[in-house]
Amino acid sequence: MKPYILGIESSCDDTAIAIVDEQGQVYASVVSSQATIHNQFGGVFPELAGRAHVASILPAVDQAMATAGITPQDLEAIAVTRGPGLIGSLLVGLNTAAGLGMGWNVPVIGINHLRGHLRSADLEEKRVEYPALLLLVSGGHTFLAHLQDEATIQLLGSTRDDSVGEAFDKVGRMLNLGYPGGPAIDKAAREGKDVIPFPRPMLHEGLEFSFSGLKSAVARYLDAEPSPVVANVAASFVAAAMDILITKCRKALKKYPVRSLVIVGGVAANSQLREHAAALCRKQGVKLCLPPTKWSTDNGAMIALAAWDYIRTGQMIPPQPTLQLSVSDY
Amino acid sequence: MEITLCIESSALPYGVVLATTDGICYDSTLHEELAEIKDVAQLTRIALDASGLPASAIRRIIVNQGPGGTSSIRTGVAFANSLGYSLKVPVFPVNAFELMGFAAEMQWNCPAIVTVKSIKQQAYIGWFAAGRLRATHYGLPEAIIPDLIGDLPTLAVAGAHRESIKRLFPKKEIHDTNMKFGRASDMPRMEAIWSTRATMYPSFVIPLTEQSSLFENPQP
Repeated sequence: MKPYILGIESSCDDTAIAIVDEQGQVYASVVSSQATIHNQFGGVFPELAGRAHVASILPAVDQAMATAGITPQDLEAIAVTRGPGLIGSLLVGLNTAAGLGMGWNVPVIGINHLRGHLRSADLEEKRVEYPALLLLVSGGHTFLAHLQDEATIQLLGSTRDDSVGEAFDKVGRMLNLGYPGGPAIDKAAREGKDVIPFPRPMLHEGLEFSFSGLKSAVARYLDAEPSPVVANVAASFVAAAMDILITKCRKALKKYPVRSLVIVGGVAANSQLREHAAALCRKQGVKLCLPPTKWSTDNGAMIALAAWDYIRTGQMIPPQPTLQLSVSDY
Repeated sequence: MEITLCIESSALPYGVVLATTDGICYDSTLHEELAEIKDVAQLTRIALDASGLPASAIRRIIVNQGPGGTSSIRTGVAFANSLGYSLKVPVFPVNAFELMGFAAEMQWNCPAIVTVKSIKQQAYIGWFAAGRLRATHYGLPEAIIPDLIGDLPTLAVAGAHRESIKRLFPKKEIHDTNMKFGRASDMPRMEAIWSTRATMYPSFVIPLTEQSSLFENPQP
């Protein structure tokens, strides 16, 4: 077995490359952000994302290999996100991986982006104790899953409409706070008060989520209110979103006794989610596993670490784009 | 054996051609069973295996950089760039106008108008004459092409708007190439066009779009 895997993540608007060993140690991680490109649109513009990936992916690969100080002969595999994601963005990563694999004579494995996220909690340090509950909260996904171990996953409930990250981005745009909305809303919310009674859709309906109604309620409030206090709107929106997420986690922990609660995805960087989750886990006697913020958002290291699981379980998935994947899929 | 890999991925069937100085040794478009494969790497592997060659035999790569179907062009360019990078061989871009214009001129021995569809009735338009691309434009074909053609009595047409161009100029002698897209099999003999464009990392090929400099300053 060779010591390293090169991970390539290009499913959305970040071009991310990393070199990771089997224990999750990260030898290089390069993330080329497209935030400045998409900021003017208040969200990801898929065609421009694809164009930007072509311009940034080879320099990122070259930088990662140089930073890690390794040669292609040191690579056990090249791991690349095969989905879910934007097709134009996925294709750049997949075809780049295929070209590198052919030229270097290294196998290429297609990785489920969601499995990458759930492994991000173990990057650089083993944090997760199994069995565990996973809450993935990002711009593309919101779901709860039960993890018996690294590879045995059962989906418990997901969003029926918008992801929570998408709601943050859209509300951020309504409040003219820029893109991505998460950090800006988090900051504004800290300066405001939860005084607007926004709804908590599906709060008491199983482990499914819904954020479209909350987002629409914010839009209706802003339409009706001539002089809204932005900080108060942000604080009230965040309070509602956090109430939904934490309530679902509490329900899941009650139904599925586990040793740890893992929260990953871009919204895991939200300071209020971290505080509320910590309080919940203290109360429930469960370990809270939060990766550092840099591993919460899309990155190549999580894809590389997930690939070691694929190799261990013999899942040599070809690098073909697959837009619809459940977290239990390889 | 020194192999040139040629990639044309603007539309199905994708074209992957292997060529030597003696000529073409494999052309994926001649194999009907490969017509629906949207995977340049897979087609390249099939071509190499069928020819009994390793990837390391590839000495240069020629790729269509568009304009054309945005995702499909990016597919070919991303693969060409990374294969060139990993093999440390040059990648040579040719554009869709050159690819079809060259074939049109070879077929009809006259200048050619080449068009590629874009959004909202817009088109990428190229004017190919005497062995090279003379002008490029982005806009409405009916607004641009009359000025490009002028009094020229005879021309060839290739690309997406062949029928409408023929209807637009009923009194001119217009030769239809019946080509909607370029062919990878034309790339090896276009050496006079691509040979000066060797691209090696840290340079690499970027797909052409309406934002490319090629369309910034329309040539007269």
